[in-house]
Amino acid sequence: MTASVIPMPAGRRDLHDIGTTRIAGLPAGRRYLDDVETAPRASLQAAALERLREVLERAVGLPFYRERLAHVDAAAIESFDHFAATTPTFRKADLIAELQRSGGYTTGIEALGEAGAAAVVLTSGTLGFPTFASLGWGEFDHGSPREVLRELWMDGMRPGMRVMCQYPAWHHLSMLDNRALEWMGAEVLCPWGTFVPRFVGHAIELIAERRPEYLLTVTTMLHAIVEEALARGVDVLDLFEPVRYAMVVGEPLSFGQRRLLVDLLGLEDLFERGGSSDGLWGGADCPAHGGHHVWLDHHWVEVLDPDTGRPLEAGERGTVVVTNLTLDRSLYVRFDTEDLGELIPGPCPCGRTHPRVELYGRLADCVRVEGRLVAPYDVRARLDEISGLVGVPLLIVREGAEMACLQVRLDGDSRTEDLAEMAAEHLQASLEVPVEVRWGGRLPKRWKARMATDGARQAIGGAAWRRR
Amino acid sequence: MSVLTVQAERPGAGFLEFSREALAGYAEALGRAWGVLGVGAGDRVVVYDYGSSPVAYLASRAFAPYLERGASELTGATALCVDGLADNVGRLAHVLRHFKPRFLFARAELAPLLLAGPTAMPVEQRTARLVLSADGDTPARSERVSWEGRWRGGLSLLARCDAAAFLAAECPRCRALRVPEDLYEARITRALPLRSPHEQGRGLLTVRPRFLDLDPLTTELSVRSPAKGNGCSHADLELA
Repeated sequence: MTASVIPMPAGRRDLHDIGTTRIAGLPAGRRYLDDVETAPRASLQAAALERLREVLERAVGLPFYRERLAHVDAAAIESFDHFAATTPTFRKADLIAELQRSGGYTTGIEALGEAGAAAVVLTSGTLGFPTFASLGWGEFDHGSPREVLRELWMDGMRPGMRVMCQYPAWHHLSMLDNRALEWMGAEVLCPWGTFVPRFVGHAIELIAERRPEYLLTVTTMLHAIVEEALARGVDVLDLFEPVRYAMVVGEPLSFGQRRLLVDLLGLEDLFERGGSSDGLWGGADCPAHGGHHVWLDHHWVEVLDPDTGRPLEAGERGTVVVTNLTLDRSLYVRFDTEDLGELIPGPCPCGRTHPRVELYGRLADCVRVEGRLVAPYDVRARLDEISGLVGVPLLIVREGAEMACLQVRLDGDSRTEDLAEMAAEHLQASLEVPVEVRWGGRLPKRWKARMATDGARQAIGGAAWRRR
Repeated sequence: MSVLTVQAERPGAGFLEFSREALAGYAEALGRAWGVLGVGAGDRVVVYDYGSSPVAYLASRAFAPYLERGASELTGATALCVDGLADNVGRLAHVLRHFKPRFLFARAELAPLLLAGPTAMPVEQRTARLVLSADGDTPARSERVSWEGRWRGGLSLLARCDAAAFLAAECPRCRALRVPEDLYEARITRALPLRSPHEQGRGLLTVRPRFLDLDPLTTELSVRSPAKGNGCSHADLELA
């Protein structure tokens, strides 16, 4: 008699031939949470391909994909290149169209088990239109919280730590954090409110009274906490004395921004998470800060040329496309996130073997100067390399789809002329596009670089420093 | 051992520290409240509140760490949360249109936004039962009457006092506040002056949760013993 093999859903099974740590037994004293983190890339990729076939097999039966993937034979997919060559991408606009057509909240991408949805989440409001994603208990108990647990471990969190968690209940990442923090055995501290500046006082009070060792928050809120504390005359080093690490999400951190915050707050390290609720994917950077680790047992990430759809090599920038590799959730197969990013070439010094991706912001927020895509992050990051301009609010002026010159406005009326000239020179040298920098008067206090239309430019005067 | 600490909404109200068992007791209180309001298996529930509000974080096991069963799991409903900022009223309209909930839990301060002015929900989307709550407070009777007339799905109150880990819903039929005796010790203390002969026994609610080690707390919730013969077999307390 031959025993039959009962197939397990992809989300419930460990990687083929690679042992994963049982959640009940966190490896105290170990650098890596499980062996999967450092498994050879070829093994990871082979296991991920197997998962991909299962995901595709399920996807072809879902209403949204039925026609799109009608020609795809899941079992015959030989490689990820083959997958890319045969499987079409889709964008959020396609989901919006489906939502509007259905009138309900489902879009036909829900690959749920028999128990149905445990929770439904709103995705982000990009394009001015949130869509919905469904998550089953299989996903919560065996899926993405495992990758979040890995990234928390990777970034210094350990059982018993007091963790301030400033996330709303409605967000997908918050739900994953909840499970991962529980598995971690962290003591979780939640300040009242949500992540807008008027609640910052609650967070300061909580930090002062409850002394968390780890902060999970959004980038803008961390800045707001610091600014409010300084405005109140609080010694921020004293306030943050118990805080060893912070992990932020929402906006990419420049090197200068990270260095400033780490020094100002006396942190051991500051980590950044990236990803998107559209696509239900994400990853954090590690202590090497060389891009976000994307766990190959959960997501397959590609970067495509936004104009041609051609897959790009590591080190080339394009639109980030994600495919989820677990089930019992809304399933995104070659979902074009329309985020600008690149796969980071080479191995990570941390020893983890999974792909890394760096994210620079929304494609829609970029300007094209002499054919080169420039993201607000690019300008922010370069200017944060100049002491005197770290964190100075700035605007990038958009004058249409193609521009001959990158136009930047800095907060202030007449700071030293040398500084603006230095900014123009540095931007031109590092971005390799013509640059004009002006002092733009009083700009809204915000770390992230913002876009302004040509109309806004007219209101901003000052001498210009042009560089070609 | 405390596994979750949540800051209370009211300034100076401090923090609530939960063990797993205490958190389960608090979630049981919300689940019972949902049951009183009529939430059942298969229902869709929208919570328009901050994630730090017990109305939100106890609504689903997905919304809080260390929570084994939230109100969704206790009742068989499915919850979706919209962050409780006034700016999100447009998102809420979008959710009501597509998610089509049977119940909408919202912060009481947001009710005027839902009912009047440019942010008002379209009339065809006012079909969910609207359940309003505020920490240690309830809307004035006149406001409530006005709102009830404008919300098609009916309106109920969820009494809430975070500092006492207190949650209790009104019975939609008799409007008595259902306070589960196995979860709370509740009594009327500090008698308030009578506003009319019908207000016998009116006073402030003093409450102590049985699932959390807290001293009895006199809330600012004004309650009274409900009138007899109100059509329901239970008779706990009534918001006054």
